[in-house]
Amino acid sequence: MLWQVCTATGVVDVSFSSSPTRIVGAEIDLFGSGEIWPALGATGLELLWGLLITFVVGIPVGLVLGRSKILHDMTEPMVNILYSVPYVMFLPIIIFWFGIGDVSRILVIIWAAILPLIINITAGVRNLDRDYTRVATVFCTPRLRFFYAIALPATLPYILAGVRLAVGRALVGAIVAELFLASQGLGYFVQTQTSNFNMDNAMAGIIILAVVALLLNGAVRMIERRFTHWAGSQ
Amino acid sequence: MTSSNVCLDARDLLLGHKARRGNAFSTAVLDLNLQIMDEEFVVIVGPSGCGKTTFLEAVAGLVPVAGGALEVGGKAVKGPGPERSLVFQHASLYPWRTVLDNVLFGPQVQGRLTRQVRARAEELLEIVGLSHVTGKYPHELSGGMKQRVNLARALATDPTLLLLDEPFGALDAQTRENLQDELLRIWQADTVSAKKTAMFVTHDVNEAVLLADRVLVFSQSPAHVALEVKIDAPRPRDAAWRRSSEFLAYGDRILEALHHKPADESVNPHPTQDSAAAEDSARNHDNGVNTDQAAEHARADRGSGVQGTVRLGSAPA
Repeated sequence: MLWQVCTATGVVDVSFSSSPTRIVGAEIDLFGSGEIWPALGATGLELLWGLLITFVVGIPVGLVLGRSKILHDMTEPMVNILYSVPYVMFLPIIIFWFGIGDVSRILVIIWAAILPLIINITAGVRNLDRDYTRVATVFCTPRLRFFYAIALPATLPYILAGVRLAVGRALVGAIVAELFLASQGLGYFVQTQTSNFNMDNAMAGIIILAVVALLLNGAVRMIERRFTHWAGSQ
Repeated sequence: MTSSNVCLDARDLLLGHKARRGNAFSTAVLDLNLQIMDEEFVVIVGPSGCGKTTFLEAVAGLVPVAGGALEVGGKAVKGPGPERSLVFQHASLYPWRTVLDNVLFGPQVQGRLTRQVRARAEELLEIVGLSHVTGKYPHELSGGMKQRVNLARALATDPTLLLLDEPFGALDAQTRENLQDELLRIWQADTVSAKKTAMFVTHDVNEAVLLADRVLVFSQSPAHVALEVKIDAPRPRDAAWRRSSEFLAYGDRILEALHHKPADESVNPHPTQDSAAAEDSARNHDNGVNTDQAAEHARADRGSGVQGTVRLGSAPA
């Protein structure tokens, strides 16, 4: 509201800050002309691959690290270092190694997303109720079976909390990657539109990103509600 | 009721727990000798902390045998096995599984989930009186119902030796008495106890006399068998057995042994003069043991807390 009033009365220059009504107009233009779809598609595809690899690798790794004290102690310093140092620091090296193609961008997304996931799952498995493991032992549960019959469902609340973190960080990773090393995607779109002094389109791009973030978050929350309804009421 | 084959045989058994750091070894059971026959229902009573639960866990394969011999069905116990199953002190159900899926857990992980096993699980749930909640989740059940699931889960693997670790200890008095009667009924149901042996650990003397073919009284730690009492009451028994004079006399005799008074071997289970007093003393004893146990739990909790701190301190920064 304040924004709209300020821009309408000329207190703030519209060409610098855009305004809500102009963003709505730009939004209609972008979707109407189909101009935004390639950018949205590119970002979506990166996110899809990045998150897919993150989950497929991160969840089993987290479970194993949580169960094995030796592996956990061996990898903990490394994980902590990688988690504490901003991954943006590694961007030049990733560019140097993998160029500025899709591989690099997906790698940045994985790098951003996988560590909180692993750390969360490891913590979850280490806090596994001792009774759960005792029951499993008494009924002679084979080791591999233990992972998917007990460790996986028991830590599902932790896993999904990690997934939520991972999705958020993946989104940041995707945009950062696009700002630095891309010629497509939403991040690139916002950057070029700003450079071209088209604030309406740039702001519209940011709004689209916000909607994407909210949708992803909502999806994870739905999964949480569906699969961990038993947790917390114990 | 009982056959002549030995189901469980402990000879000069030594059990204990190794300290996490160093070589310290705390002995829980020393030179224990006992035998349990096939199809016998044996109850072990003893003061809290006497090592009776450690013994049960050793039979279940959770605690390694440190010395002597421990055999089930003629084979040395080297770990958990499908022919034994355990009814846990706390129900320890998996909260993400429905009641039926919890009961099916054992057969499932042992890879023998057939249609018969499923039918059997449903039958067991009916026997324990839970056929109306098979699709519910554990958090929707009361404490007593959870323990029934716990029992059904242990029976679902069709074990030859059923181990029960104070399964009613954490319940309120009324539920406990209810479940004791229920267990008596369930055990005496044809399909349940067929070719099964039970070893039940408790500190509740009445529970012991109600359920047992034979009661073994453990001494203070390190445990050995201080007294052995054969309960000569015909089966099927029912709740009325609780109120008989023999019942009280048996209870008295076991209590006496628990309280370290030298048990007079010539005492026969005859009605005591003052049965009300006997019951009172039984109740008092129960309370005493419960308090001890609470203290023990508190100690254990403190212990693990300290350990957590140590680990934190020594973790690489």
